[in-house]
Amino acid sequence: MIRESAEKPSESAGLSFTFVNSLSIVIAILCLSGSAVLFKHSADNWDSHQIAALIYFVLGNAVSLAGVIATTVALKNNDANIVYATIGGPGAAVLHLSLALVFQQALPWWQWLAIGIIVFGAVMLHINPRRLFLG
Amino acid sequence: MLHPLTWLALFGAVSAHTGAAICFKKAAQRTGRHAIAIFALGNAIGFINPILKTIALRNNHPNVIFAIMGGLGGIFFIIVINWVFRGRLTRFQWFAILIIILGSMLLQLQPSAIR
Repeated sequence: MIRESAEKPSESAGLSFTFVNSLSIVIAILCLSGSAVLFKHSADNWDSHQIAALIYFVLGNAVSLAGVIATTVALKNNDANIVYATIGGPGAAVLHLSLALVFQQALPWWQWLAIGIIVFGAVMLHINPRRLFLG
Repeated sequence: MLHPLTWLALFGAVSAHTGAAICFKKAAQRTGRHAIAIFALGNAIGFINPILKTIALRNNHPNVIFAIMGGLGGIFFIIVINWVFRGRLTRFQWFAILIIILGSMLLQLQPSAIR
């Protein structure tokens, strides 16, 4: 019984930063941002270039699927709360920075502040402190 | 301020995401054809998400749309998932919800209200 439980990966084992885990988290973050940029390109081209919009939409879905696969790999043998918080926090930061860099649409300072507050809250929402801090 | 149709598209996208997540969880709890059918249904519902997300992104600032989807969408997702699977939100998560609501209200402020 003890041996069996020792062989099973613990769900609250935290995040082990192996090469595969780190790589899959980076890929998931890049895919999250990449698909968002592609969907926005698709939305912008919808009225003028419908074929281009369709290609961007399909590419966005493909990139999004790659992100889901990378997330699944990262979830293997790791605590889901920590994986989602690791992807969600830096992922949201990379997403908003890449959208701002690619589309360069101006926002007033308080809306940037609001985006920061929402991203912080969204990361907190997916963290279960009982499992994270109390084991 | 966002157009009411944009809000509707955002709500639809978030609902599709939540519906797909519920189907995947239910599929994971079952076996055989029933599981495959629920998994396929989850994929079909989930595909509505990128379509409505793209519609919401039309003529709107992408940072604002993704902030709302991540924030208010996240609240909707976590409340529905906890209700369906009879989970309980922690005080920490209720505090996160409060922060997101405050952030969303700030996001909706017009320049005239600030200056």
